[in-house]
Amino acid sequence: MGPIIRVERASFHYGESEERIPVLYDVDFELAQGEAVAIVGHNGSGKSTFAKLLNGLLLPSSGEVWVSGTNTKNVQARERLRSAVGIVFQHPDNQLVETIVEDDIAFGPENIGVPQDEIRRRVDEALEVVGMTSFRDRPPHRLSGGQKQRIAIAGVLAMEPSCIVFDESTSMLDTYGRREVMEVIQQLRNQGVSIVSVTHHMEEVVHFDRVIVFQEGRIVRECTPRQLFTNHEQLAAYYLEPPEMNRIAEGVHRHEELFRSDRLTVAEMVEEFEHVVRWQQRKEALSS
Amino acid sequence: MSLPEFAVQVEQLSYTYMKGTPFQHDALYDVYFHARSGECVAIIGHTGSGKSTLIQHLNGLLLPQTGQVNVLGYELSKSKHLQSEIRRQVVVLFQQPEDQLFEKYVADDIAYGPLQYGLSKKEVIQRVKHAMDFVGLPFETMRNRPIYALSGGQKRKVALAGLLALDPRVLVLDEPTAGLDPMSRQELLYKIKRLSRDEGRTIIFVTHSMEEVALLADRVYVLADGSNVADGTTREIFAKRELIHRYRIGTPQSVELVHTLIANGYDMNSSTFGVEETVAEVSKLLHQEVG
Amino acid sequence: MAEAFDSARHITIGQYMPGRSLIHQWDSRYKLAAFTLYIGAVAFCQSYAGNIAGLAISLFIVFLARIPIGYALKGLKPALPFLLILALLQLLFNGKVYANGQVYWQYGFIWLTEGGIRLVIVSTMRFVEMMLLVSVLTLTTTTTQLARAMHSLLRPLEKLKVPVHAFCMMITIALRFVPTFALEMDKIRKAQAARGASFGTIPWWRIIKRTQSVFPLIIPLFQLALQRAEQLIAAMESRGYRSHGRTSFRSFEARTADVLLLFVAVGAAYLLIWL
Repeated sequence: MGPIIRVERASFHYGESEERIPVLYDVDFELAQGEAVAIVGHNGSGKSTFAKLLNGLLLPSSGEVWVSGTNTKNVQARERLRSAVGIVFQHPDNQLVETIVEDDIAFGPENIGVPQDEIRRRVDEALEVVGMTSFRDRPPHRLSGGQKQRIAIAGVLAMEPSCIVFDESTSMLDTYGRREVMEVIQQLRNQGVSIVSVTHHMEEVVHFDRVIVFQEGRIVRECTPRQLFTNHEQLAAYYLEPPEMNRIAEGVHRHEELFRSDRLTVAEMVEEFEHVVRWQQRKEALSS
Repeated sequence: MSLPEFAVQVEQLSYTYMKGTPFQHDALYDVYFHARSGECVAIIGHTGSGKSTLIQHLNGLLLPQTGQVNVLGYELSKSKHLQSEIRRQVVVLFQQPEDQLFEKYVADDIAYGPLQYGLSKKEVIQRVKHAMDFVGLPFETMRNRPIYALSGGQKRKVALAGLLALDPRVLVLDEPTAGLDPMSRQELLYKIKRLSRDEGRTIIFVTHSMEEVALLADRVYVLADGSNVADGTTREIFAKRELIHRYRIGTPQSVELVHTLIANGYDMNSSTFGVEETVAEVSKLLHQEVG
Repeated sequence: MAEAFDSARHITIGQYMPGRSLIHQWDSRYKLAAFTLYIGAVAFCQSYAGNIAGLAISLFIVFLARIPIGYALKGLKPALPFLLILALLQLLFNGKVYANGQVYWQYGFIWLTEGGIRLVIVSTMRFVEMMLLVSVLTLTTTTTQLARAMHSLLRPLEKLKVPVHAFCMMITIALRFVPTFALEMDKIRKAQAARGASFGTIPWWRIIKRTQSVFPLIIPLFQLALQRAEQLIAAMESRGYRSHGRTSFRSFEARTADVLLLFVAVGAAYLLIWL
């Protein structure tokens, strides 16, 4: 089965001729079904613009973007594109249009002409997945940031997409809201939904399959999170910082060579710790 | 004028929103809070814990329905007299402060506050210059920049500078780094630290980031459901594992690591936090376990 | 959420109060039609008798909807200054229109006539009635229901190429964001107050200063509104928004009671006009 998203030498600029503001240069990208990719890069590196190319919200100035074999420039297929790839944006409030949670989730399916009882089913299911069923009757302005984002996600889920793009969806949330959203993303991954997440929280990145680094409108690196975070000089050049656990692992490695410096999460650190201790103890036992 | 020992003293503070309407709800119940002059105090708690409500009492935006709020020696009561003076000495930087900028050029917006207080033009320029240089927006180059052309981080600096230009004794910051990219975040935290350590201003900040608490705070107050739950030095609070789990406060990952190792039976100093300390403790432990 | 709700406290329009009263359960299409008709009748009612009846009916409706009367009246508070100024102006300068009726006093432009006084009292009563009615309407009907009712009632106009859905979407979004904007206005007001902006402390006669003091509030709100519009468009488009070919999540099913209530409303409207 081919990639569900394919970006071919896409460039993008705002404005025309002399007043052109270039944002992306010759970007290539592929997303396979079920993959979870993180996109990082400094402010203004073009990551958000790139995200909007993925569902056809923006069309590339040159190059092509294909979603499940359909070109995003195909006007007739607009609905299919919007259904296949959903985007959850940064501002929790500015995505919810209706006055009741349920109705807002139904907004998407209504737009694409889904029959009434099917809409009901989708709304109920979406609410379940994001864990907001008891909030179905509430007005949006009474929800916390994290809850609003979960509703935004539910609204996208109701379109039954094969891929969801998160464009800095946790930036405006507090730690708790962020955790809520990350839990939902993990759930979606378990269900086989492909994920693209634009973020600048390095702790989120460690759990993804692949990381793509943007810089000045170009993709400069594509690798696993571990590969990215263990090269600290390169990270600094990208204006990025390794997650705290990794810095601690590095520090411990300097004291004790056996301790691997490429650990990224608390769980990995604890596991590595116990591993080294056992190894050392066995070594001691053998030599005595 | 000498500084009082306590910049802020709050006792038995209670507050109910939309009192007398069908939508009313309690936000604070019998809350206490103290900050000594020159201290850096953090307020942490889950959403809905009452943090925002509490800080709005500190400069008189909200007046206590019951309880006492004493700021820089002034007793805040129903009288509107002191409010103006208090607001010059106790400033509050709210969330997303860049949303409040309204002038076209940087220096104009920063000058707004001092001008409102009737300072001379010369004095205002001095203050603006000092504030801008402090936050990292060089006066000469940035003064006539249009605000709309600035990045989010830069706009936030403008908002902070606008408050610093009032030369306040107390700065109250509501999630000062929320929504900023990592670089801007680090920069801002460093500036706040300087305000506390180098300039001796009292800093009170609300945050969800435990890393920030670890970096800046001398003492911490934990709120939940509108009431005090715990308070103490940063170390004391981070060491309270049970508390942290119960109120889902979240710890910096370094503390989480230490707590997990302790839970697994290893003997570690439970009040360890921060990268350097954790590295030292873990390395020490490795040698101990082996040797 | 521990956000300051101060402004939202007094705004009774746009706030929905869940309930199971008769008015709450009235089919929104009939409800909207009935209210529109009745409010129209109120607008045309010129007599004392009519307006007293109207006021009584309005208060009765508030009662029927099981809304605490104090809360409904609170919504009038922000409008009070305007009412007073308007009343004063009308009283002094509009009196001339009724010069052929009984004149109490006259000096230059100022005519104090019986007709003028009646106009002022009646206008004020009408205003109060309308505010109460609109408040009850929005307190008992979710904006979704209102928008759908409006859409349903205006549907026939689509045949004349009138963009009914787009219009209704506009109304829905506007209503949805009223509380949000109120909250944001509070936030901005507090932020500006915290930097020395003097809200509410400038004497009423210093008009220029009062006008200027509004800028630190209005400009950020405008900026937020523009930013909001831009982001909403992206979000709506991403969810496939279009005006035609949409299905509906909710549907209407009228009962006899709904239709009966409509007739009652028509009756009340007729009564007002007759009186």
